[in-house]
Amino acid sequence: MRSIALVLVPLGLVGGVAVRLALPVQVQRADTLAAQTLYDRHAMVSVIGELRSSLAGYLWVKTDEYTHGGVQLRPMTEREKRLGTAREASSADEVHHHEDETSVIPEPERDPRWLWGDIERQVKPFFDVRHHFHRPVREVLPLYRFMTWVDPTFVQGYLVGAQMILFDNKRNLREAMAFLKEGARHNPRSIALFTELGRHTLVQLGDDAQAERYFRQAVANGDRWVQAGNASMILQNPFEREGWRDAYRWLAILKHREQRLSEQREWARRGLTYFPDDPVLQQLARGAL
Amino acid sequence: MSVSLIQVCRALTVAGLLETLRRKDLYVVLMLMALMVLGASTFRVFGVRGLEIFIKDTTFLAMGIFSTVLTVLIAARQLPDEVQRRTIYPLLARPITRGQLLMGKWLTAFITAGACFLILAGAAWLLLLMLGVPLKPIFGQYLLLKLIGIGWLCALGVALSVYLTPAANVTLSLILAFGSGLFNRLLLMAHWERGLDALWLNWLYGVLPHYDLFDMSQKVVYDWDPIAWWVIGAMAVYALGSGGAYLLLGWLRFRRQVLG
Repeated sequence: MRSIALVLVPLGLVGGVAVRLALPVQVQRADTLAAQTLYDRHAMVSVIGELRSSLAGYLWVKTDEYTHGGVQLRPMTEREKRLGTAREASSADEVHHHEDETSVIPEPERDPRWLWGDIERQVKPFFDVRHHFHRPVREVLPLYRFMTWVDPTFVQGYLVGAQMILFDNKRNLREAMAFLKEGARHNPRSIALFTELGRHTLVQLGDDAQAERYFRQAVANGDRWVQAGNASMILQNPFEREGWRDAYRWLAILKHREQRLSEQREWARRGLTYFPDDPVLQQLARGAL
Repeated sequence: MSVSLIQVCRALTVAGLLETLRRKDLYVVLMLMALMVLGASTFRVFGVRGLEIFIKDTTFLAMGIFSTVLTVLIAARQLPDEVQRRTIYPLLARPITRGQLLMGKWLTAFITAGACFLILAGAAWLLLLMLGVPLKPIFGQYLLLKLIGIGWLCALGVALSVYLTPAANVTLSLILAFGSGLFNRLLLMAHWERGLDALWLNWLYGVLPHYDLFDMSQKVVYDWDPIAWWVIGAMAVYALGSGGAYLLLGWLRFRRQVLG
C-alpha cells in the first residue's frame, strides 16, 4: 500500500508539470491550429495531445451508449448478416440511424448460456433493439460540447453535435450554426464543416449567395488536400468524404436552380473526378436534377 | 486444546484490520477520494447541467477500478506478508489449523476491502449529492452485489497467493477480474461464428471467472429500475460455490506447503 502511495504522489506531480507544460500550447492549438508543428517539437505535449484526442474519442463512443441508456450495440458479423440470425437494431424515433447493428448482449432466443444469459440481461442494461426508442437528445448535447472543448480539432463532434442541437429543437438553428462556425474557425481546412454550414444556410436560411461561398470554400479545401497529395486521407474519412461529395452536389444543384446548366454540368463533372460512381453527380452531369 | 473457526477468524480479522491501520492503507483510500473530489470539482468549472450521466458514469468507472485494484492488492498480500515477516510461525504454533488460517485471511481481506469499497462508495454518493446528481434505489443493490463480488475476488486472490508470487498473483488476478467480460464475449462469438457446442460453452462459462457480473454500475448510471432479487441470490450462490472452490484449491496446497 505504501508503494502505491509512493507511486501516486510522483505520478501526480509529473502529471501536474506535464499539464502545466502543455497548457500554453494547447490553448495555442485551439487558437492558431499550429499544433502539429508544435507536437513535433515537444514530446511531452504530444503525449498530452494524444490524451485529449483519446478523451474526445472516448466521449464520442459514449454518446452512442448514452442515447441507448447504457445498452451497448455492435456491428453484426458477416455471418450474422448473411444468415439473419441476430436481431437488427432499428430506431423508432429516427434520432439515430442504425445499419447492420445488434446488441452486444444477445436476446434470450439466441443465447446459448441458459441461466448465465438471464443473469447478464438483468445485471447489465438490455432491451430488444428492434424498433427501439432513444433517451432525450438533450442528455447527450453536453458531451458534444465537452468533446470539442477537449479537442477542438474533433470535426465529427461539431458535425453531429450541430445535428443533435437541431434534433433537440428545430428552432435552435442559430445555436447549431454557431457551433458549426466555431468548428470551422478551429478547423479551417475541414471540408465537411463548410458543406454543412452551406447546407443549413441554403435549406434553412435560403441565402443562396452565402451558401455558395461555403460550398466553394469546402471544394477549395478539398483541392488543397489533393494538391498536398492527401486526397486518399480525406476519402478514407467518412465525414469529410461525404462533405466533399455533397459540396459538389449542392453547387451543381444551386446552379441548376439558377438555370446555369453549363456551370451545373461543370461542377458535377468536377465532382465525378473524385466520386465517379456517384449516381446523383452522374445525373447532374447530364444536366438533369 | 482446539480453537473454533469463528474465534480464529475473529482474532485474525481484528489483527488484520489493526495491521491495515498501522500500514496506513486507509491513506490510499483517502488519496483516491481526494482524486475523485478534485475530478468532480473540475465539473464545477463547466457547470454540471446536462452532464449528470457523464459524471455518474465517470464516478462509477473510477470506483469500480479503484475498488478492484485495492481488493486484489489487499488479498494478494495477506499470506505472503506473514511468511515474509516470519509472523506465520508463531501463528501456526498456536492451536489453529492451516485451513482456519486460510479462512481467517480471506475474511480479513474481505472485510478490509469491503470497508475500503464502502468508504469510496460513500464518498462518491456524497460527491454526487453535492453536485445535485441523486442516485436511485438500485444503488443499494449495486453495493450489495459488489460486496459479494469483492468476497469472491478475495477468495481468488488468497488462493492464488498460495501458488504464485505476489507480483504474479496481482497481475493474474487483475487480468481475470478486468478481462472476465471479454472472455465471455469470446466464448459467445466462438459459439456463433465457429459452432462451439452449447454444452461446451456452458461448461467453459462455468469454469471461467465472472467478476463482470457482480458489477451493475451501468444500470445505476442510467437510472434503471431495481433488478429481481433472485439474480442477487444466484450471484451469491455462484460466489459461494466458485469462491469456496478457489479456497479449497488453495487449502489443498497450503496444508502441505513448506513455509519459508
